[in-house]
Amino acid sequence: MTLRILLVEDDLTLRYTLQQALEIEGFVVNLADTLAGAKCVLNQYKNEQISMESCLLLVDLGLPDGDGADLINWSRAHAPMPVLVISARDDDSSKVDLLDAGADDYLVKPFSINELKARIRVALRRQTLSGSAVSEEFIFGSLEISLPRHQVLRDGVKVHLTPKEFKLLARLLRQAGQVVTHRQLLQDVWGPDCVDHVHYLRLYMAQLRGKLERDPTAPELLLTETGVGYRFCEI
Amino acid sequence: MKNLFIERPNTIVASLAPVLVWGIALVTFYYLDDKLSLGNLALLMVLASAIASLWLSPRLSMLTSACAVILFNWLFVSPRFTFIVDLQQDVILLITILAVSSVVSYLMELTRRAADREAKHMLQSQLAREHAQSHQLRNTLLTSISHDYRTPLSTVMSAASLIAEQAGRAPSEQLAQLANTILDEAKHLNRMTSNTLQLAKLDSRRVDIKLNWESVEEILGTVGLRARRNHPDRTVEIYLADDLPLVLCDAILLDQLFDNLIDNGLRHSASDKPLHLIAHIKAQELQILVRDFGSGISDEWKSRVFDIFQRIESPAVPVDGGGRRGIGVGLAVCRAIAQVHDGFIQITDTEGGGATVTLHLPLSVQPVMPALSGEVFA
Repeated sequence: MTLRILLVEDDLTLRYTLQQALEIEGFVVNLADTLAGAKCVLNQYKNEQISMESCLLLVDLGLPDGDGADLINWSRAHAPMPVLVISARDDDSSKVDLLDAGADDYLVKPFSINELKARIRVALRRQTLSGSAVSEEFIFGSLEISLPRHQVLRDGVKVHLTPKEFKLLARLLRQAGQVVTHRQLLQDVWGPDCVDHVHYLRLYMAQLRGKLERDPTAPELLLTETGVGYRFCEI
Repeated sequence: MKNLFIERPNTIVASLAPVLVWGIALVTFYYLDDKLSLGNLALLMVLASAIASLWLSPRLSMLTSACAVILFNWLFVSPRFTFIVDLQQDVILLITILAVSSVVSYLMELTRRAADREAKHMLQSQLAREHAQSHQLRNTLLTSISHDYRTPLSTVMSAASLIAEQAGRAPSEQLAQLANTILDEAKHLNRMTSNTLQLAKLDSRRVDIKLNWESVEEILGTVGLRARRNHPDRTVEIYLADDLPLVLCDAILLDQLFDNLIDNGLRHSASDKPLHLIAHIKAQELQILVRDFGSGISDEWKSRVFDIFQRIESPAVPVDGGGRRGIGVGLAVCRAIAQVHDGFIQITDTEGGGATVTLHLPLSVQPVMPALSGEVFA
């Protein structure tokens, strides 16, 4: 299956460099430098009946004819596909807003190509998985997690998690490899009344790390995305 | 200097006040009429006029005084309830009241003008000071950019032009090395850019930092992880006291602070030496230490390294093992970040050689945590 990436970036040099890097990886790369151009390409995908499951939108936020965030909303409605945001803004609130609005992940300029490739891989894998049965059994090194059986084994020994701890872990695993914002976690684990109680997360993540990480001060699985949320590391 | 009485009358209250004063005065006079002499009443009248002039412009003050004198004449001066004055001494009395009132309102106006001038002057000098400060910061940032940016930039240019010229001829090993040089210098430039921007942001008059409940373990865990990834050959160890409280802080800023300190510590110590990140409570404050075992820093420089101005102007800047000058504005940013968190930062010697940078943060009253007792183990 051909994996297709629509790269929306107005800077010619960065567009060219990213295109080359992604083509080396075997992706088909389509280019656009404006919102209008991007919508045009997305419409073309629809007309040619290209499966959105094998597409990914890689969009820069500051575009000449508008904000890339508009494109994310438009794509949600017209051509749903995974969205990766690239941005020069180091302002975390806009990142959080985009993630809460449905973007899959973000990268702040400057980023390395390896980082970009890793994020693309995760986003596409999730997309292809979403149609089939979602994985519910995970193995990370010496750790085995079974969501249906509510069971976590470390080196074959059962680890006791409280229901909230398990719920939090399961929520992160549902998007393994991707960042989940504080708000999303609090909403899904504690409910809509608790979306601002970030301190709950600090407490429970510390407990989870204590139970699951080899060295809680050097986490390998439960990673902090400073100012944004948490990410269950993809191994 | 703010003074109620010297401020310009500009509110409704201020313009009603003199009317009230005159009203109270005249009513009082009416009741004290049979107890006091006309001279006493006249003195009280002058007092009322002086008080009323606190709120009035000189012209209005004179006008109200004149009206009051006429009313006074009508009410109290014999023959009463006429505008006629019988006695010559009463005429002098009325003229004196008017004269004193006008002198008082004139003096009041002079005082007001002086106060205005002073306030204006103070505002101007404050603006001038702020302007000078921001000017100084801008100059420093510009100096820092020209100083610290050009070297890595020229390295990047040389390496890239070598690659361009040698393309196809150079051994791939050399190409990879040149590409790595470019990568390293780009990372260095990126760090300096973040620091320079952050310093400019933190220095602006209205700093908007986003406070949230953060865990020290997480912040240090994240910067530690990044340091190990960027320097796989180095050892970064984290030592945390048990039961560290949550900190109300801007994690992005603290992340940047420790990133700078770790980078600094690693660059100023030999590659076989570890770097320690330590957190504990001591003397009613949270202390987070970044301890290196390198060459240390002389006493003379301990406080000055945080000062961008010193660093750039002095030729005797300590140079790290790689021969690169300090980390630009990095330590100045660290200090600014500590300050916006009501904390401070300090350098001491590591026992046995090296430098220890300590961030001191005040303890926050802890938030209410969810009850764990209701949770049944799965």
